[in-house]
Amino acid sequence: MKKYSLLIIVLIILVGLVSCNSDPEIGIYRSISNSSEIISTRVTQALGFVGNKAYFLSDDGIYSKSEGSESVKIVSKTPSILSASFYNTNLDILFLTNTSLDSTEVYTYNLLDKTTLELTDPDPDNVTAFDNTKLICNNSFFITQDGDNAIFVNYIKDTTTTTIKNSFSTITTLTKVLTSENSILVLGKNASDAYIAELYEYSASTITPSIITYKNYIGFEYYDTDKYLLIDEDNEVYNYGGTTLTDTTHSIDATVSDLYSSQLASFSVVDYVYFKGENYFHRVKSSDGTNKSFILGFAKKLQYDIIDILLPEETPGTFIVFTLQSGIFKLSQVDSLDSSGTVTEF
Amino acid sequence: MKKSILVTIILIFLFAGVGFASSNYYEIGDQTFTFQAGVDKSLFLYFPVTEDFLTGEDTKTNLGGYGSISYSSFFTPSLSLGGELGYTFNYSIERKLLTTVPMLARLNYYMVQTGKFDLVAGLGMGISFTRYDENLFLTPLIQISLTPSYFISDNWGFGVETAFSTSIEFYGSNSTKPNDTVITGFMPISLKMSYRH
Repeated sequence: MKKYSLLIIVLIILVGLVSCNSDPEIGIYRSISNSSEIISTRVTQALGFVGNKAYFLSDDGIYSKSEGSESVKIVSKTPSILSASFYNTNLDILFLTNTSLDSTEVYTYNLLDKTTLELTDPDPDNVTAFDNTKLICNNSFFITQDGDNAIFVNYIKDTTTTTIKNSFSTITTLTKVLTSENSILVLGKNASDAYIAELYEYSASTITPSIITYKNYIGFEYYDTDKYLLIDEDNEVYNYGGTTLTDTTHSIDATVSDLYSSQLASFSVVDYVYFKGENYFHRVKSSDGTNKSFILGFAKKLQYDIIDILLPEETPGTFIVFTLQSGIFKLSQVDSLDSSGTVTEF
Repeated sequence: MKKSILVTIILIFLFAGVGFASSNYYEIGDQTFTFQAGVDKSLFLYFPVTEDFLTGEDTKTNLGGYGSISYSSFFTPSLSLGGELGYTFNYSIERKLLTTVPMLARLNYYMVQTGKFDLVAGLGMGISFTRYDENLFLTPLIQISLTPSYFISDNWGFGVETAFSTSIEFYGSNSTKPNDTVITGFMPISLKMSYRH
């Protein structure tokens, strides 16, 4: 009897100890085996892939990197660059610095002649919130936000910028800015704290506000040149096309959903949009919102601290993966979901 | 050829052990305290569900450290039973710290005991608290070891212990991550200081 009592006590202690186990999103040793060496030049924003070179913003400037070579700093500024973006059909990089409300400067860097030019007439009073939105630039337009939270569309022509005053009149709190080839979609809240979206169409130069839902959107990606796919914090999938938001009635399976960040790495390929969660990739069919979540295949190779994934047109079948601290990777020979492909350091 | 050399070495150890064991130095009730410190090397990670077998640099861990204290008492002239409390640390290549705290019951077999020289084979079984990146996990742990020791006095001796530790981080099929179930293999090598009386 004594022997059994001792056994029971040991078992109770063991069960108690096991209950201390945290429930990590990913196994401890899986997490270790997926880790990668920290590099000195960390990527804070992926800019793009042009002419077989990857471009990114780091803490101390803008860098370019060819495959197999060291990163080369091409632009540095004091104060440091807050945000950058390609524009002018990828011939220039637009970047912005500011130390206070009145010292904002907007520059362009030309990739061909390697010259930096400060643009004149950036309205100094309306450029404050780039740490929130990142500078997203497309077809010469970019978004700024002033100290009163008003949001503006800015237009670049030659060496000057022009601000379209009070562009987005109803949004008071900016959440996210997306650009497609034809439009800028701004998500945020209005004065009544309702989530809204406003769409700026380049061709018509019109702003179309539309109250969407009281949802917090955490995943965003555009596809098919002028449509957007959104995922809210309840894992519901929405389509935003034209000026209307449509609930697809589909959602990411809650049992596998690991979409927590408001800056999900995402990309679109043909008919699908991929969102990277903590452990899974969630593939959503853009036409109807149905999804599949998976980790096998190529997604298994992409368990880094990813901040962006690009699919350069110049290298079909290849993903360029930008990570925060582990550098840039190239994933190639991906011909299906179950193909693990080949991951190499870029 | 290699196999016959290995068999010969094992037989020499066994016969030597039996030979020396016939003239035992230790008596029932003798006690041993040990302190050890050394290095810890990851040998492999085996993920049985996905059949990933990672060795060497693929385990993504750097050489770490190992330390422990133990106590044992002889219940026959050549076998002692006791416990060991250890601590290991390894850094992943991401510079995050992996630590384990093994708590083991230990059975030691004194293959050779001359009074000046001991050769001890050990078997430890117990649990280990594994911590990495704010996550804590309790795993079962088995360790086997071989320790030659030289005693400079009646009480104090020094040796080198080479061990192999294996544990399993288990996630059942009901878990969201059965693919992350892993069997680990580590090799701690340490200097061992012993006190006996």
